Amino acid sequence: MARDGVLLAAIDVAKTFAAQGGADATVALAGVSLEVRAGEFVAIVGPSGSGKSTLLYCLSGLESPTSGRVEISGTDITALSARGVASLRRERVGFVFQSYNLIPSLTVRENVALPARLSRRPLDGATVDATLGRVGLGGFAGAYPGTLSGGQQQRVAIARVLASAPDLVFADEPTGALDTAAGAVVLDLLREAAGDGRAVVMVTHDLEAAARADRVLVIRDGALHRELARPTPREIFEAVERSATGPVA
Amino acid sequence: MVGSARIWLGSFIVVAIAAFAATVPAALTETGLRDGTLVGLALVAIAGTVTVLSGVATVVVVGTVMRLTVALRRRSYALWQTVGVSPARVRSIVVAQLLVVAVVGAVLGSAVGALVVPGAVESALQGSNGVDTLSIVVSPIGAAVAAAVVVVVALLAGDGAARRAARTSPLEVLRASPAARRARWWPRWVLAALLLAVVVQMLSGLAGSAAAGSGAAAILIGPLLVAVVAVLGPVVFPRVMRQWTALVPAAASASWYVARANTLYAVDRSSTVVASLLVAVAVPGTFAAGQGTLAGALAILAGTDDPGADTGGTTLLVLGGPVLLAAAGAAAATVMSSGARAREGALLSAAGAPPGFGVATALWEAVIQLGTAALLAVAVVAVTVGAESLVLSTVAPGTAPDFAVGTVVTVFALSSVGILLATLVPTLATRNQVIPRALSGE
Repeated sequence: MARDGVLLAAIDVAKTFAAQGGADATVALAGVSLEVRAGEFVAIVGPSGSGKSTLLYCLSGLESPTSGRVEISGTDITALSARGVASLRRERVGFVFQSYNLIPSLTVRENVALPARLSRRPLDGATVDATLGRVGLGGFAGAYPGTLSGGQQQRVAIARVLASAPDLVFADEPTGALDTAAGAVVLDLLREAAGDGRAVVMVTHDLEAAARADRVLVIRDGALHRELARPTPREIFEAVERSATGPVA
Repeated sequence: MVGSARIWLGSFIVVAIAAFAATVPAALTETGLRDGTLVGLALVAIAGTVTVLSGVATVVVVGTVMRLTVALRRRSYALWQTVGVSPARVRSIVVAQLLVVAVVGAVLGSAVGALVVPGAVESALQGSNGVDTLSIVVSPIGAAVAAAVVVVVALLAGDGAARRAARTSPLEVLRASPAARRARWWPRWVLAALLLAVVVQMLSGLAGSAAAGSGAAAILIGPLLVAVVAVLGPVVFPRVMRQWTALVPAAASASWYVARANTLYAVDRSSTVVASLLVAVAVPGTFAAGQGTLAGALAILAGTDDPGADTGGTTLLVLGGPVLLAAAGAAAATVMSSGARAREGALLSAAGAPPGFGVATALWEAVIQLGTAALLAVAVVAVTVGAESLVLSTVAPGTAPDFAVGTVVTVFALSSVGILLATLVPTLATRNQVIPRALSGE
């Protein structure tokens, strides 16, 4: 692990999308720096187009920043080859997406065991079944994702993360497509995933969901504006509102 | 947009090639009937063989590609239903789209055929006894009939697929549920039974006609058996794929494991490729095997050692169109499905798959389809020549089956190269895709 339990560090990360079809180049991130420590559940909030999803993709190695550095467990992922980034993602990072992104041709059990299979680490059936039991899907191991509800598919995605026990879990609007009850279950599971020296970074526009986190980072126009510790939904709302006019923190 | 264009272009090209190939029997028939002499009738006889082979290829390849076209666009049709378009309207819109593609493709293909085929056929017939003196013609009416037949085949197949697409629950499609099998099965079983009855009838008459020095049915029995297997493809292909691929341990390779799951899950697209490959390999294979076995029997009956040589030009004339169509169908189906594979590759990358994993998975999928088609082709060739040699032995004892190994291996090797290229090129083009954008770009 890196210094002082820091699992994730972003140093002056910037991302600019090239001009396309007559439109000007877009600055999505304008030099973001942050740290996430082991055991933390961190939420990133901000209005649509603020750059929060781009930040998550840059932090997780799914997208390359234009400049700056991202370190996961002390490893600078911006200096790694594509194969190195993939290997690090496989070994240390888990993802939960808004649209679940399960492999439709694999059963629930096969989806949960997939990261281990890709890493050539043996994952016995009992472990997979126990993980499915933890997310309340013990009876769905042989089902295909397309036959499950949205909430169930999201729980499969979380079971996939829990089974491979990565250092860092990135969640992109994990409750965005779910009703309140299903969303609450997903947030409880993410909270659980942040235990045992691991951490969760979640992007969300749902202020109630963000209020479940240990820390909330408010982003606007590609820059971090505020950082709140265990805030209420009201406090997050006011911070987002103020960020529209206030100076960068 | 690019994905839709790829799908429509693929079906357009297949229809155009089918219409082009259909002008060959049209030209032979028209020229033979106009001539009216014995030489002309000989040409009509050749046209009959070409018509059977082209018919098998057209029904199998155009039919499966049209069904794949609708299957790959099921998500769009489901989205239409979610904004209030009725199932009946969806069906009529789908059929109208297919009609436009089929008519434009068929007109273009038959027009090119009308220009190119007469000269090509005359070249192919050079050196063939008598018929090489005829001037080959194809009139606008002949070309129009060829185009119309292809359009009808395309619409019959497309309408069934459109009906199923319209009946499927939009939510089921949008959730990417496993494809429900709602096709009507009885027409397939009836057609397969009818084709089998024809095969049995031809086999029963084979010994007598061989004894009389003919036995031309021997070269058509195999292609008709290919049609039987292709007609029952949705039942046969997944079972054969599942059985033989189970021989490879799942732990051997993660990319193989995922490819096998994809191939068995996306059975619409894998069956389309297998059907076309089966026609591409087994039609020339059974044709050559039947020809060789019959030639052996006729040589025994004539008391000579030389089974006689076939002119390559006639074989090219008979097989060229169907093989070209089948190979194009397999390649087109592979390219048409590449959009779906790109998204699957992004999903795997998001799950931590290393670079190149998507390419390896796509190649394994191609290997599974090629292996399945090869197994079925070998089985059909073996059954064909086994049955023919048994029947012919009753009048020509000692008739040995000719398995036409050279033809089967050559056509399979060429088809493999084509399929692997059709798999690799679009897959490599998406190799450096940015994962979040690939996942959001449905």
